[in-house]
Amino acid sequence: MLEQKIIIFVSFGYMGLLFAIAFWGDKRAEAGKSIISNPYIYALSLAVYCTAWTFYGSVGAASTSGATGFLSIYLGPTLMMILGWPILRKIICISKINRITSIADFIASRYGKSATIAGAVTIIAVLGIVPYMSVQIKAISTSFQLISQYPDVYMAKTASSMPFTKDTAFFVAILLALFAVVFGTRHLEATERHEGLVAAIAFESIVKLVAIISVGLFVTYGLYTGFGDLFAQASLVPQIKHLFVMEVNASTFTGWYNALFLAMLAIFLLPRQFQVIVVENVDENHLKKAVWLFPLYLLAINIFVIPIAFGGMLHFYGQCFSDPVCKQGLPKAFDGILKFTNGIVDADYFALTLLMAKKQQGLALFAFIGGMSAATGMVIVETIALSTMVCNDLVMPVLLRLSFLKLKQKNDLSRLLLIIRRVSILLIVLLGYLYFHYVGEYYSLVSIGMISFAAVAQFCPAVIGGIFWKGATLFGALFGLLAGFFIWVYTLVVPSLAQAGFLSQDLLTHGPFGIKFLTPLQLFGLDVQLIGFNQYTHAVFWSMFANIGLFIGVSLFSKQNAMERKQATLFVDVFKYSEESIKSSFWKATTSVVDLRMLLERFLGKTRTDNALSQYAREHDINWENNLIADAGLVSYSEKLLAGAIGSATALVMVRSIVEEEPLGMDEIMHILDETRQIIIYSRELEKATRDLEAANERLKELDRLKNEFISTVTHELRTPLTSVRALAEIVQNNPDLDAKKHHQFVGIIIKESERLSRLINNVLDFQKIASGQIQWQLTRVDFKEVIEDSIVATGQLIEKKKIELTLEMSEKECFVSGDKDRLIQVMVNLISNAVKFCDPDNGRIKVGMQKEIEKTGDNENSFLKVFIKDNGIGIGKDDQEIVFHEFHQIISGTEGRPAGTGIGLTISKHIIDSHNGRIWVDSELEKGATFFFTLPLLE
Amino acid sequence: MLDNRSLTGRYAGLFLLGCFLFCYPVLTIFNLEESLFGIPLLFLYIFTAWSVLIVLIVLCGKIRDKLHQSEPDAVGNDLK
Repeated sequence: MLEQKIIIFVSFGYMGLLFAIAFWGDKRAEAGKSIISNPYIYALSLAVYCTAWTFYGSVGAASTSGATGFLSIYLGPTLMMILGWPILRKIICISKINRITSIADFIASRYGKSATIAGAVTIIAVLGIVPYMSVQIKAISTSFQLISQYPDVYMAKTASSMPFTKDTAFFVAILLALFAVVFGTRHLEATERHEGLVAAIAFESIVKLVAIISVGLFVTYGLYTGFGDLFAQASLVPQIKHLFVMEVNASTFTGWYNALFLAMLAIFLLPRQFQVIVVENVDENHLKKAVWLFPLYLLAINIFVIPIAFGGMLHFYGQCFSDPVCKQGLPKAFDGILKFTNGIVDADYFALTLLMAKKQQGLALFAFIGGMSAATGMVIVETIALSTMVCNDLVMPVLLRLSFLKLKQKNDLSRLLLIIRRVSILLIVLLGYLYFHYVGEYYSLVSIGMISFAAVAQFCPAVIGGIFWKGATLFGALFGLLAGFFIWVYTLVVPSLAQAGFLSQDLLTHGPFGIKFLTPLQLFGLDVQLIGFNQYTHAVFWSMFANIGLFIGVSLFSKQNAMERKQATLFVDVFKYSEESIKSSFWKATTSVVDLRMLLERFLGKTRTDNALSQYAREHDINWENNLIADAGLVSYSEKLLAGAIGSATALVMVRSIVEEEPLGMDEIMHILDETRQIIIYSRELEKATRDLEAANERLKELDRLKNEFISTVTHELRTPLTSVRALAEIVQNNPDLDAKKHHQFVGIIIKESERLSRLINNVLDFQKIASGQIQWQLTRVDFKEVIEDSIVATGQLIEKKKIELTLEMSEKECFVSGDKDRLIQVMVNLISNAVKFCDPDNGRIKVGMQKEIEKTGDNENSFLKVFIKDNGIGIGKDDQEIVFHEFHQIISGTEGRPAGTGIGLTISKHIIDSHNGRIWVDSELEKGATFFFTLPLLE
Repeated sequence: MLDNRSLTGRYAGLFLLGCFLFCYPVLTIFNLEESLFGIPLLFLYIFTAWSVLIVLIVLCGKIRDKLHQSEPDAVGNDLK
């Protein structure tokens, strides 16, 4: 017989031990030798995820629906932890920089530190967690009742008719609440981190793991000879054997994914999980080990769930056959509860009742402590997380706005903060009790828990969307959350209240006001039977649909204010900014140090304020006596400090109350920077344009000068033959008796000079045509050999006259190009006569030639013709080689003066060659002759 | 050197593998009324796949360290 006194003594002893560990953890933290600063403690603290739901509920779920009934709740977190590095680390980094205190704070901070959304998240979290809280209360009170009637394993059905004063669960709830109050708010200072708490939670995680493994080992190797024996025995019972496989139908399918999805989200969105993963994280590098340590823990805690479930079923089915009531009602499929003559046996508590039935007194007590540690761990962390949210994001913002309370003038508010937190812990636990008392009795542990999972899943779009999508707006997040929450209430809470008799059952069958379309369990006429949706899948489907839809939809059609934009950038691009740039201030205003100090003292207390400020002074080399004005950096530092105690939304309000200026958002700063950059770009473009204009102007001036020169050249060139023509003509006119020989000579000169004149005029006209693009090309298939031959014939007289030696270098084959033959001849004539003009006057040599060449560009082969005209004249300096092709350009050498010609021959040639898709250039050295080259594309 | 981005890529890949291992169709493959080592096949599969996945998560982090060590930087020092 286990005496109740002993059970209570052991329970309190265990709680005392937790206090001792927490106390020790805090002391070590104060001494700077943190015991929780390692990945193992961190991973163990994450295991606060495993509550009474895991310890007791999993066994119940396994015995009604096999492996798929409970494992998805642990595989989901395993999958999520794989994404720990990309997703959770990002959330941790953001939270550290912004000193985030809770999930409500996180969401609020992302959406412009909005107090409205912080309040909404808090309300959803509190109401959503209430059922979950009731699971723990139910588990502790039921297990306590069971173990105190040791070795009797049967218990009476339902306690809801009982008055509170006689209900064990009520006392359990009160004790749990008091324990959480004392434990969670031991310190006067309200801080965001609790080292001692984490140490105690890690210890609890060890206890529950060891407890369930001990029970599992006893069942597997104590009652049976091992897994093989256990499963062999189990396979003899048809009700157990059908659990070896899962039922393949739509319901298992959707249920499996639904649980997997919810568990993935719950692992970091449950307020207590957010607390241990994000807020209590000491070093983000701990995540590296935790991403596999925590899944390993989950695996370990689940290994013996199936053996315990099957062991329990084997034993109690055996009992059932000898019990008349039970034998009669033995169901084909096990629904988790066996009704005996003396009471019922609930599969949820097999871990305890099986040990009791087997008279394992010590082990049963240990299992009870294990279950209790799973439940208390959850209650403590969850209430601390929730009370922080209630205080920072719900109560304080309201109190601070109520001006008649004159809170803004109060000196020390840290005590008030603690009181609010304590009261909220009590209220949350009591709400949990009420839910258990009126509703929870009708559901198993796992199904109650799922309601809470579905509630916190509503935070997913706002959180995940918030850290990866800058465009997500406050209104998007708010509308999404509220819609999701409303559907959650309507599809999960309303039915459970109806079942408990608070609302009419008609609502479930006929819908509100008889509108069948809006039935809570078959919203919008969804045929849940057909697609295998259960109540939870149905609720998750509609709530997530509304939530995500509104989140995205409203975000796309609403605007962000400056603060939102700043926070969105900070959250999404957290890895892009160095810590320094984030620390840097966004406040453009200053305030007095005294005001700031008073503000900090009110929330943090004197000691912490002094410490924080002196630390700031040390880091920034400031002496407070000389520094009366707090600069922007200090204001920003204080805001972060405050945020750690009262949440970012409230902190912003408080800092604003003493700093009247609006904060300058980083986005605005970036906007300004952006504008500046734009201006710089514009001015650069402007400079470039100016430079271009200047260059164009220079060129115009040059052209103008050249044109003047050209005109003077042309007029000179025109005048010279004209003068001689006129003079000779006058001689001929005035001297009619001029002898025939002279007469003939003079007329010859006149003809030659006129020819020269017309050539000159033709050139000028040609140039004008080409330059203005008016020329009509007569493109034909031209054999370039002919072009060369023709042009040599045309210039033959000139060459002969100067006694120049001309050599030709051509292949025998014909080389066809597409072009205007006359124009090409013009080019050749131009180049040859140029060469003649500049050739060595005494010993002139000109070489004309052409050759085929092949140019490779990538895979393409281009064959083209290369023509050259080489002379041995004065040559062209490197600097002039480019500009000889410019119009009106003539190289004026110091000794020779202006050369003959108009200076447009080469320009015309260049235009012609360019128009034939060719290239023309000159290769030359002074005094060593010049070679003009041009290329033309060859025809096949 | 392996940066955070490629590490993220690895974990993302591993996540997809995990999703595959525990997806419903794959589970139905092992949903047979048979036992291996005396343990029903479905239970054995889930727990084995789970263990393998955990080992892979460990490796995912570990291989990264090794890559770091095997690639000395320009000065010849090992990278942190």
